[in-house]
Amino acid sequence: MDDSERIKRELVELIPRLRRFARSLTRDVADADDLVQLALEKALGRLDQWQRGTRLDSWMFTIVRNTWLDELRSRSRRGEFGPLDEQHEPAAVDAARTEDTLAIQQALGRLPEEQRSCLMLVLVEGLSYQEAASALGIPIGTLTSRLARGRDALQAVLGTEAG
Amino acid sequence: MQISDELLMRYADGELDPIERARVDDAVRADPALGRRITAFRAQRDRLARALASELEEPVPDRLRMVIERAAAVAPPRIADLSERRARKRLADRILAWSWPEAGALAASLLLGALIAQQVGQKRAESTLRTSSDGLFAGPTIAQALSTQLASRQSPTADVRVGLTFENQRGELCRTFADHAASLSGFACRIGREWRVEMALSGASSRPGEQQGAVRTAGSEMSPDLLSAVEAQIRGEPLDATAEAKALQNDWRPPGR
Repeated sequence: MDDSERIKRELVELIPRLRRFARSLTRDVADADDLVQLALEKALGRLDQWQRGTRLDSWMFTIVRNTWLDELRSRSRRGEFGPLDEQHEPAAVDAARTEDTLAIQQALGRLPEEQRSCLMLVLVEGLSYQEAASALGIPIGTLTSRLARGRDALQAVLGTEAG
Repeated sequence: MQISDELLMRYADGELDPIERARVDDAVRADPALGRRITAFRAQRDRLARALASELEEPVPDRLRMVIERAAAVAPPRIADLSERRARKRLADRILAWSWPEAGALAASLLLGALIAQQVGQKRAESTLRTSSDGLFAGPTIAQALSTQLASRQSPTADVRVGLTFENQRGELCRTFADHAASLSGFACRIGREWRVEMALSGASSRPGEQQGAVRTAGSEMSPDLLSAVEAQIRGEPLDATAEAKALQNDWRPPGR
């Protein structure tokens, strides 16, 4: 029990990073919080599946992303729009955000999810290539090439907007 | 040698081993354009991280914190005495490991003696449980399971499943059971050649794996009534698989004798 109390404390500390990653997936603040909540509930229900000694954040990123992919699948089964519909104003509501934050968020939002997740986990969350590849369930070579393509695409988008 | 853009990216991200790194260092000395490319990769990384750092500053919604804290609340209740607490924790772990399937489905109706007959049905009750002037005893089916089944080796589809085996305050060996066919669960203690039923609960029961769609939380794995009845009577900790097998060999005679 002491062990699971410790994990729970760590989970609380992870919430801001989980929300950030979730937003990069959902591109909607409210959806992201729902997603994080769902992922936390899942994780708490299967804490025994987390391998001690591995990164808890990686494990949580995996759960967040898989939960999101499940949600997308069931949305498309229900005939609903995906996350790219126009009904939600993407995270732009927070006036405190700097201009560059918005520019980066929008640029990221134009990338395919598979590239976006690679960029988020490696460049923003600081996972190693190997850790990110495991979290995403892909070979490290695939991660490396998605990362390279994602970086090029990001640069292209940001470059266009600057010019 | 060929210096690919990907190699430069991996260099910038600190992903190269020392030998590869040295090779890139050499190449950069020969071609400054490669160095500028590495700088560009690092600048992009820094820009991205800096731009999104502000998102970590936002206050966390209470409901997200609550998800975790609520989960903490299902931990077993605090008990003053440490050894009792340890025993109780072990008991709870064993119960979870055993994964009592009646869980939430179990109606919280406690039946004793004659009441059994009405609730379970006279005929069924006669074969399941037997009343005598000495009390309530297990009928042939449950008695057979209690006498011969080991919790660790029983079939998940058995009609009667045995759960915990423990010694009660009188030094008798007791075992919890779930009779799926009769929708009955409880625990019984070995008295001579008989199993005296100390507690019986009725309720719709299902075998493991038959529950559908229900979210099963840790606390709902076993009827709280049964759990607290066992807790009230147990002496020490439940028997582990080895001790259980030994007790079977010894025909469930009181361990003290």
